[in-house]
Amino acid sequence: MGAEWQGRTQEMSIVQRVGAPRRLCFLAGLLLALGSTTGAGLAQTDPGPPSAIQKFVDAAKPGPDRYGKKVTVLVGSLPTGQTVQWLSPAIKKIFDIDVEVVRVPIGQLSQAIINDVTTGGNYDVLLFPPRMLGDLVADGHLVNLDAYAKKWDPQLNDVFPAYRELYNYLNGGLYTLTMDGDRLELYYRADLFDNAAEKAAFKAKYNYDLAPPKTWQEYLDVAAFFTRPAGATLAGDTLAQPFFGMSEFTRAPDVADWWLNRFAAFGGTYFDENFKPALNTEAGVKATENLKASLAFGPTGILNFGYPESYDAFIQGRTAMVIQWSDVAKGAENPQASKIVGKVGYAQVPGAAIGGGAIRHRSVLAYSRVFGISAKSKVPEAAYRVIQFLHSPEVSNLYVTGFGGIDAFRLSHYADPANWVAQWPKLPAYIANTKASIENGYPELTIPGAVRYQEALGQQIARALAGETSVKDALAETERQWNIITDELDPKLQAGFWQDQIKVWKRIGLAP
Amino acid sequence: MSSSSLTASGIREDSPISSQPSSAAILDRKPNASRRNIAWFGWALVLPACSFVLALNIFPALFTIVTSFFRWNFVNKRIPPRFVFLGNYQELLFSEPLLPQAVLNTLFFILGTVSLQVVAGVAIAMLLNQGLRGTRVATALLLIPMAIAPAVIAWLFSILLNEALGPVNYALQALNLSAPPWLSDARWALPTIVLVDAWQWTPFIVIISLAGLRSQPPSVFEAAMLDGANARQRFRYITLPLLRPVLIIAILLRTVDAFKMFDLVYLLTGGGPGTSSQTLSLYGYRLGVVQFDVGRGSTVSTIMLMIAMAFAILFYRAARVRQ
Repeated sequence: MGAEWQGRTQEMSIVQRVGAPRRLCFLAGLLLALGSTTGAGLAQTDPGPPSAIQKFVDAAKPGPDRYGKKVTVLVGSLPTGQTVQWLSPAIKKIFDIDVEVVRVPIGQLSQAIINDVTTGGNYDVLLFPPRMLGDLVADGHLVNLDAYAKKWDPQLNDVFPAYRELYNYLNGGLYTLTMDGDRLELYYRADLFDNAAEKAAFKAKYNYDLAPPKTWQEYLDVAAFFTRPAGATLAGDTLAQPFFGMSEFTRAPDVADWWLNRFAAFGGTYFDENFKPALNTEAGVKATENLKASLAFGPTGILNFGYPESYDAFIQGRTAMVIQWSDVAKGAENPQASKIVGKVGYAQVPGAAIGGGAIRHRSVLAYSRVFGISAKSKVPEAAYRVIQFLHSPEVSNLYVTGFGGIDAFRLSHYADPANWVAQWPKLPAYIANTKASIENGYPELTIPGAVRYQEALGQQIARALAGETSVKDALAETERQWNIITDELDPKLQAGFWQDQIKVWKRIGLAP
Repeated sequence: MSSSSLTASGIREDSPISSQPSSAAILDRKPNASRRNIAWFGWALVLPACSFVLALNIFPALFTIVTSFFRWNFVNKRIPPRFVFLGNYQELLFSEPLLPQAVLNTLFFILGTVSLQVVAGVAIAMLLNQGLRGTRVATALLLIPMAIAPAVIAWLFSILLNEALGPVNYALQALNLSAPPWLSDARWALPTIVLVDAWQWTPFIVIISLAGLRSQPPSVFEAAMLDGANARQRFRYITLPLLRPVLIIAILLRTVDAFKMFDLVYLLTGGGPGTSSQTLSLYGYRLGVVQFDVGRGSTVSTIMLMIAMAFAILFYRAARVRQ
């Protein structure tokens, strides 16, 4: 009998079996629509260009060079992509170039780029993080821009040396132009740090003055001091929610950049002079232990924090400090998003004492975005004019000095606070701090395989932070994986790229 | 009389008629020819489908297996693929700590989510099968989780389970219960994803089980009741065995789906904290797609294929034993 019933069961459709009436199907359809609508609601909406950009676009006049071509630009869905889209009508007016902007989710950008340069050739301009530079150049995927730069000056002398020499040039050739210059900085709640009662309490406990932490040890002290449960007092107010000392990015693989802030300050460097990984060192251990210790003073859930979580924790007034990209300062002054408008102070990321009272600060120039031209582009000259335009001082000033998420990279961006689109009382202090951070910058790797080195490092640091492995084992495993990557990519060639980078680091004063 | 003799049918052996094949021979041959024609026709009919399967399933699978024997990074085309035979397997299985962990995480995920779905799904289906008021509305409402995209589910749960501000922890704290670190603790992250996945897909088991329950003959239960079987015995000895064929299919489908879990993990934890919730799919993605390490990415895929085949054989045997 079982077989008989089994047979019947197989013959019947699900709807028949459930006996679903028509209205059930209607309801299911409605729910499907609801699901889709909710999904669509999650998609980013374009608020339209800020007034400064709109004015510029409206005022654009036809230029002398007319191309009558179409240039396709592959960008991420972040503000950089939106900005290129907003400025494309101006490019059409000035150069008669139709810019088609193809935006992909940021998590898929590098795949889209690699797929295109290796098999496709659909895009003329690629916007990517400089950590991809080595791979793209070593395999001839990018157009060398030297000849174009001689003809149409991209005004590179106005770009901070670290971005220019390490993120635009590789092995002496110009391959990219910057759109977004990133670095990590420390933001703190100036109102709390200036509170007399808090200062006195801190002095009594730690025997030195409460101030933005200059060293990583001080960072732990300050973070511990401000971490308080709900019901405790903070600057005279009773806390309704717990308050935390710090917030940082902890997700793999980009946690590697937050680790590098410490590693570089403790004197670490990616490879030694013989191109052997130099991570499992005293500097590496100190950096990992400090990062791990600091997380005890972070908000609940900090081990799963990416950019939005740590940003949000700070601007919603739940932490005393955050180490983040420099756009956080701008976001914190935006009254529509922030609960701490006017309360933020700026400092370089903490450093390490190197004797004689000196402190070595190393702010990781994390991520950033640069334009390159695909070697498969059929319109490289028109593509160059597009990126030169977007990179120019006049145009870039429009998008890096607003409240948006793109950060300044030219000296001229910092020349006069009055030129900034966004204005707030502490803007001069912000500018001074961010300049100092770039000058003490620690570049990301841009040699071939940098994405893989970074991924392996981030994974292992995240494992150490989660307690899955010991600090020493995590660093040893990273070194093992780095050696595998190097072996795959040709050790001699890799060593050559590294030696060239070290020379550049020394030339621009960033060498450890 | 001529030298030629007559055949049994009275036709001379040398007559042109006698050289024609006999009707018996014709009858013998006709089916062969027609069988051949039918066979060719049959092959022609299945050829498009076979071509699709070859192009879309067999070739990629073979390509992945072959690629797993090479060190090959897709980005660096200047470096040709290098044949290492089982080198990738040796490295990933015996030197690399992430693969064994990803395998364990995936098995834990499958076991956790499918068990939860089956237990909760059958229980809810039994309840809905009681013919209570509102059953139809409840059944329709049950479709909601399945109708929502995984990205939206991940977004919803990242808000619901936000450890500092989420309503779930708020409610738990209001009841004086401790608020778990749902997604930020290495011990909690994967079980939390299991719960979220079970929330989304339990309705699938409910629908399938409900269909199975409604197709069970009432006479069997009536006979059992006459024999004095209580509710537990009826469930144990009648309901469950009759439901088993349906459940096996449902479990197979859910296991296959759980085995390739990627979206929820990627969006809720990114495989973290650390790599505590990294599944095989996510690990393979990191190697093959993020790092463009095609060789090792293919190795992970091949290992997944072997595990999937082991699952399929187990299910096949289980189904055959039942039959």
